[in-house]
Amino acid sequence: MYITLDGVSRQYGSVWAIDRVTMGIARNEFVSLLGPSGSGKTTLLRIIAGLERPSQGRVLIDGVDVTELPPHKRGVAMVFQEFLLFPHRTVWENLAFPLRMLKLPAAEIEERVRWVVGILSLGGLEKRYPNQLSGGQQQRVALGRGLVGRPKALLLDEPLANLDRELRQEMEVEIRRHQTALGIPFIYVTHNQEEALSMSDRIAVVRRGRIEDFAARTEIYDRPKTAFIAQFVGRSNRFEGTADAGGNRLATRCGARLALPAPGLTPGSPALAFIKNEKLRLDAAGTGAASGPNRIACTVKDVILRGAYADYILAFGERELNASRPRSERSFLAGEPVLASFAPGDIDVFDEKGEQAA
Amino acid sequence: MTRRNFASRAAGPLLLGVPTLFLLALFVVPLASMVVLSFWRTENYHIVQDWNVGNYVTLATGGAYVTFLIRSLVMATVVSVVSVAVAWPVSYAIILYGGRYRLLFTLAFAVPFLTGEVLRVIALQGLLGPLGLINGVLMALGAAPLRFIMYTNVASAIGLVYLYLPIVVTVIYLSLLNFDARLIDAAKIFGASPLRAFFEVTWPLNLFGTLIGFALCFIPCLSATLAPRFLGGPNGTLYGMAMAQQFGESGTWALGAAMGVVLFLTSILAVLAIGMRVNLRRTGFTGFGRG
Amino acid sequence: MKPHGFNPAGNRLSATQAPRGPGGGVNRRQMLKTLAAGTAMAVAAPYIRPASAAASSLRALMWEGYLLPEVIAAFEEKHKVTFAPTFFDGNSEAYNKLRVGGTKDFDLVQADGFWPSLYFREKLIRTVDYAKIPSTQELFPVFKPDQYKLLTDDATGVQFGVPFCWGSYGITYNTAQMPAEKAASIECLFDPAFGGKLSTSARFEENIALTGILVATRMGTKDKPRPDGKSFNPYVLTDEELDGVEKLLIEQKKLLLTRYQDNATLAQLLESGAVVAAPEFAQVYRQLLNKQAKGEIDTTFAHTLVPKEGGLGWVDTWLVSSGVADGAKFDVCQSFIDTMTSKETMKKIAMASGCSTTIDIRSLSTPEEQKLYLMDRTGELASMYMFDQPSSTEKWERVWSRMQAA
Repeated sequence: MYITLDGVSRQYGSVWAIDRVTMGIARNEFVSLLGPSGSGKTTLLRIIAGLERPSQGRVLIDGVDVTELPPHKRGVAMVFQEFLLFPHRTVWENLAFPLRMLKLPAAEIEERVRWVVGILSLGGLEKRYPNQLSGGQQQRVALGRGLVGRPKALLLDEPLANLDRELRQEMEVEIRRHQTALGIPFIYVTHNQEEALSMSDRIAVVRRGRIEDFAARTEIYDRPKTAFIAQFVGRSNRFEGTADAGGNRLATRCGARLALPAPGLTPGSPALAFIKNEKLRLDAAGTGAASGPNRIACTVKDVILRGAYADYILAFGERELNASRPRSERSFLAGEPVLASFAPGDIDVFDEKGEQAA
Repeated sequence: MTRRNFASRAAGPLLLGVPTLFLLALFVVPLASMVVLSFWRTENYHIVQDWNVGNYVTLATGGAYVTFLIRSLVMATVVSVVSVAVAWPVSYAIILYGGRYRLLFTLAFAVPFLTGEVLRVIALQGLLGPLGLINGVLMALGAAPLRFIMYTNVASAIGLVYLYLPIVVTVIYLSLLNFDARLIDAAKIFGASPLRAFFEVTWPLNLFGTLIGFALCFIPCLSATLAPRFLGGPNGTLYGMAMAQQFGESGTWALGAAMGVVLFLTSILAVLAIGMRVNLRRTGFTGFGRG
Repeated sequence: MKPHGFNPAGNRLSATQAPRGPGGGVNRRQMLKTLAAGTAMAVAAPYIRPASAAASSLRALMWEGYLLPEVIAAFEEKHKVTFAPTFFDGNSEAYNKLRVGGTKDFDLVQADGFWPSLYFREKLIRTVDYAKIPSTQELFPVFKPDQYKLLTDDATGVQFGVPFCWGSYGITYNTAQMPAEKAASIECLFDPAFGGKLSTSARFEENIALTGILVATRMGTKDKPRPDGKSFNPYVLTDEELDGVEKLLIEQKKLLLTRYQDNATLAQLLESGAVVAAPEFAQVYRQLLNKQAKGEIDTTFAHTLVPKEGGLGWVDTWLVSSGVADGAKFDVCQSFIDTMTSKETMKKIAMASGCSTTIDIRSLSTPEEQKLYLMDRTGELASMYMFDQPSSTEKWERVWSRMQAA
């Protein structure tokens, strides 16, 4: 692996902010560290950068143990959430900074800054100061400063958190494109699952200083390994219930009955099930049997249009269910009775410890 | 014009009028009267109102006054440089390691201001004099007393550093407090050693604050009266002290006023000389808006 | 005049407000006041004149050190008046206050040396009646009008002031370090043998005047006919004498440890042996003798009251401002002066301020006090030159500045 974390831990007082993290990242890989705030993902990134020192464990970059190296000797670059551009330097000077530190000849600095100005469409802004730029422009400069020195890896700490939605989606595409083009690993810290899903090759879900799962993004999304991931990644309907005697059916507290594709639960034990919103099929009431496993008769409470999709808020007894359907399908109006159904394979079931059960 | 309209129109000029009046009352009027007085003359405790530039001729050709001014300029420069050099590590240490006691430190800096300047100079006289703590201890140990801190310009300089260091520390500390230390992280990530990061980022971004600290030390040092009087000894007369004499015992107010005008102009020139060398943008100053 | 520079309690803060040389703040205020008077006030004065105080208030412009609260309280009680003092730091300051309309603001004024006669010439003060001030009977002979001429109008023979406290600017010296015959001359303050162990006050008038006496003595011009036809006055020096003073003061600089700013500092310097001789108003001398008497120090100090070349002296006085007309107010003013110059009050003031009195209080004093307060030596005053206004403050200021810059 190009970058290796080997049993890395970081202790603050008596708290383990990072707890025995071991992971490897390949060259040319886009990895996201996804987790809620306070999960330790930023600390992990700062340990890779050298801004924090691990209490235990080793960090290797390109085969070299850099655990004891200060940040300026590691050859990595970083893009910060607040950009952290040098306010007393122009755009050009900000971009040239890493190159000056590398003591490159002036001609090469010129050429490389020109290159980065080109690929990030910063032309015309070279003489401006950071506070004369819009948020998106500052973000591009920050990204450019990260790329210009051809680092061994680019670390991104929630770089899009301060941008508005539209700009964010634009930047997601662009960041991914640069990563592909440069062929260096990007390690991207975010609490935003959409960002992680849209760009990453692999996603490491971080929770309480540990890696909950580190897998391909489709794996993380489609086959969540733990209840936490199922809850955190994607938008799902959550059911709590008890396994029946056969271990392949779940009677939920709200009254729905779920049939699992295979038995795997301890009979009679409590269990958790998640069904992604988009896996919930909607049909007009009266088409097919209204009751039975994996079928829930409910009423449309509200409809939220999301362009190509419509989000339905459904009333099922006391609780609400959420469904997300393409607009190409038949649409329903608020107040309409509908039948929500799902395939057994779309149910993610976990035992009471949150471990995968079926 | 409706009433409200008028009120809102009047509000702007009115609000601007407050600082204008303030400046007029506290600055322009006294300064103007000083300028007028400097073009009159005195004769045995009488002000004679005939317009002349004799005071300025005296200042320029008298020799003594130029000497005082040069002494004061050298003194103020040395004191300010020393104060800044001492204040930087002190402020930086508090920012880095002050932790939750930072506020306490900030307040502690204000403590010396609670006592009068006179009191502080007297305290120092007690410390540096022939009977003072330093020489007292030295002599008790059988060593020779330190002559250079007894009524000398060195003693004056120590006194002035002691008087104005708290101001410089406070200003630099506030500057550092407003400085985003994560920029140092950014510099390090992009290949700067800690020392390099300091000179690339920390120093330039706190240069403005440092210069304000420098000026807030330099300008009062130029007009310092108390420290040279109590600590300076026979050769320690500085410009401000000589100026005070004009207004006090010798009653040559017109000459004193002319000295005041020269001091004022010198201070302005000093500030301008510093200011001209500084590109505010290069200190991260963002008061220009997005223009 | 000096008492505010001497503080028996040893409170250094007030002691540092050195005689005559106030700090910058006071000077600026003073300057601005003067300015305002010179320009704007000239126009506005008729309209903004301070309301004339009621007869029940007695307003004094005085030295702070002479204020005795219990005496004042008793006087207020007896005469049903309120006493409202304003303090000043030097004769020139008081002079300016009076000149810019102060005669309407003050009823009683203090001044010393030749200054009262200047006030009277400029009609800032009025005559007084010694018959209404019985304490004047108790004046030492040398301060009675027939001997002390500075408070009597030549033309009419009427008095315009009452003597109060007196003193000299003599030389206090360490007897172990300086022989008496050396200390008897001003030369000792310029003697390289005592280099680095001398100190003088920071006041420019007395420094120049005292040096002037020495210079005139050396030049032999002191007893020769003077250009102004009068007898020698160290405050009226010729340009040649001033040149000599400047040279001498510059030479003296390297012999001085410092110019003391306050009595407490001088006392410390003398006590520690860092300074062996310094001219002063005998207040520090008295302090040191007291300490020696109590066994706190074992060094012996002596005081040359009048050096052989001549010395400087001062007599503080009480004066009545020209704003006071005959009548009840004038009577209260004279009663006040009488109270202040009564033997009992004078004794208290001597103890509190460390000054010698012009009133004979020997009957109330121990032999030691009589010696310490020079009660038997008032006769020597006649040989002193009274504090005066420099003939040209501008010329004197130049001399002082050039000396400081040299």
